[in-house]
Amino acid sequence: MRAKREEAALGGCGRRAHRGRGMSRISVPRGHVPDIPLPEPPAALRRGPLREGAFRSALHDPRTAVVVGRLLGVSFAVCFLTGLLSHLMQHQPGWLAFPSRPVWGYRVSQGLHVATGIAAVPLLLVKLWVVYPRLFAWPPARSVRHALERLSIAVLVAAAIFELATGLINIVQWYPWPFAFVPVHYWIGWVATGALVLHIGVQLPVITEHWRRGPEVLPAASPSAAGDGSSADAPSRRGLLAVLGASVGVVTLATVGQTVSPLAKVSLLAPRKPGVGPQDLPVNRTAAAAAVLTPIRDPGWRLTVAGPRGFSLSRAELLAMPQHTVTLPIACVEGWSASASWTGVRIRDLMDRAGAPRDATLRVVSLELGSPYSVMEMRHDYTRDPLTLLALGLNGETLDEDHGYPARIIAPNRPGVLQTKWVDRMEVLT
Amino acid sequence: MTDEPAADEPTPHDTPDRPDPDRSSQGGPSGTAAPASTAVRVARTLLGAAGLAGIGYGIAGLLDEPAYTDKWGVAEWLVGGLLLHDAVFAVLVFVLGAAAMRAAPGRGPAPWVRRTFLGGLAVGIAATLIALPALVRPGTPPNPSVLPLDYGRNLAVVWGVVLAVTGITIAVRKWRAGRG
Ligand code: HEM
Repeated sequence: MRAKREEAALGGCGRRAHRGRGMSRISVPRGHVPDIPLPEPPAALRRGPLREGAFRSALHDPRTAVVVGRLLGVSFAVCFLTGLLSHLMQHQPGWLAFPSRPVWGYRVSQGLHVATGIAAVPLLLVKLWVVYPRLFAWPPARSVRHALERLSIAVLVAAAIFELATGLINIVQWYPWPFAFVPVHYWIGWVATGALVLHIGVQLPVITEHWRRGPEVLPAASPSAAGDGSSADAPSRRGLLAVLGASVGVVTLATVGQTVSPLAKVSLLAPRKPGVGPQDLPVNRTAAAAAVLTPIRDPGWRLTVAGPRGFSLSRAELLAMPQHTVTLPIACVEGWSASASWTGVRIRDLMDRAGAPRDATLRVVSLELGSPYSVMEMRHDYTRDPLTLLALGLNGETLDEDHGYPARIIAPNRPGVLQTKWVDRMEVLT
Repeated sequence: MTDEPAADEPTPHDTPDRPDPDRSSQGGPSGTAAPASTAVRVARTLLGAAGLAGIGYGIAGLLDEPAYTDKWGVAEWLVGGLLLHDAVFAVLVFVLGAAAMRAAPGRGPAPWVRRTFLGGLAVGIAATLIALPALVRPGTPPNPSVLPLDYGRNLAVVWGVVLAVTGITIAVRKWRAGRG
């Protein structure tokens, strides 16, 4: 799929033609893996970009592939690890507990996930630019093993593009695909990471050979010998890296303000702006979208707490309990985050009142029905934290309907989707 | 990305940076030279096995996913993205690069000026790609705090800054060269 194109458009005139590419080069790789050589297709098919020397920039070389690949590899590793963390926090297996500190933990990890994914866009495109000529390698497959290697490269590139594209589209809350974003982005993340590790394994000899700058000097890296006094007049790796660095810098500055609030002013292309929204805080799901307007406006609303000594309280009774004000960020899985001041009752006070044991897990049920986040569970690591509140107020005002009125959960170091809004009842699980 | 095109400036094509004769052209990695040390062989085997396991785990998980309904939809997006890059985006980039470097040979701006300009275009294109979802998303966002900015205008501002910096870069280098 990746090797057949016969466009003549890309130019080049085969200046590299005589490089001794005889049959002696068709090597069966040594080592223990058996391989089956494949016949070379007729030379007449070798046209357009398939011709020797069709691509002439000296920057399509292994050293540049390694230099750019390293950066891309780091960015994919960061995305994979932070993505895995976010997944585990939302689908917490029984054997795993997360601490409620540091307060900013999830804000940083998910902010990093999205920011790194955005920075990876120019990294990936430059890497693919560097190695693009290899798409037209001749013969397209020397052997069965070579064909499989190329297939694995197709998997890597497809999965890498898929992850960046779907992530970028998801953060503007647009879902133009016929599948559920979250699980598919997660599983293809494993495919991309696996294919990347495999790629590093396949290329390891080349990578080790070019890990350090070699004795080679790219023609243009040296100062101009050319007459006109201009600086270097052939492409230089340094120039390529300058463009790459500028691209990463621009796309990062243009978006990272959605989570690094002081940069909000320069983040002209960010999908969110920290101060924009009801009570100066962005909203993901409004009360109208969640279809909870009727129950939350019901003056008879009461919070029910089920437990050894269960009870129920009206909003006025909740407000009569000891109130605490904490500054905590809302950190959305979509990568934006914003800090706010929340006032309300400590969850642990409510649980103590219900006679819950210290290590009890709390189940929180929202008035919103039928959403994957309608029911949320919180282990004692979170419920005992004095910063974990049933919030009744936000930034000095009564909690806005879109922020979860009459009451919502706010806890440190937790994905926004687990900060349950429009709380209906809580159950102590023992 | 669009920069430093496969262009026609007189680069020495026999790049001296591939000492390994086995890989002197577009050959594949399995033909790698220098007998790999045992450490490299072991590392390769481990990386290969771990990588295949990761791919297998991802595919198995995907096929097993209850929420996962349209498997052809996923396949279409995977293949579509690959084709969009390899057969459309990359082709445009290389054609643009070659055209910019080859137009009016011997006349017009020096190759380094053209290349610097292409570098500026690359930065602008990166910003455009990042802004694209916000620009082409159909319908109104679900609430006013989603996509609160004027992305078309803001992208124009970013382009303005990028092109201005590119122009200044070229001017400064010309000025320096003139003095040097
Ligand atoms: C998402 C991550 C990456 C993607 C999508 C990617 C993509 C590619 C592609 C498409 C090729 C051409 C393969 C061929 O057709 O033979 C390639 C080659 C290569 N890559 Fe990567 N790569 C990635 C990460 C890395 C990393 C982390 C490194 C190592 C530091 C690396 C080093 C190399 C090397 C050495 C080559 C061979 C270049 C040559 O011989 O000219 N890549 N890569």
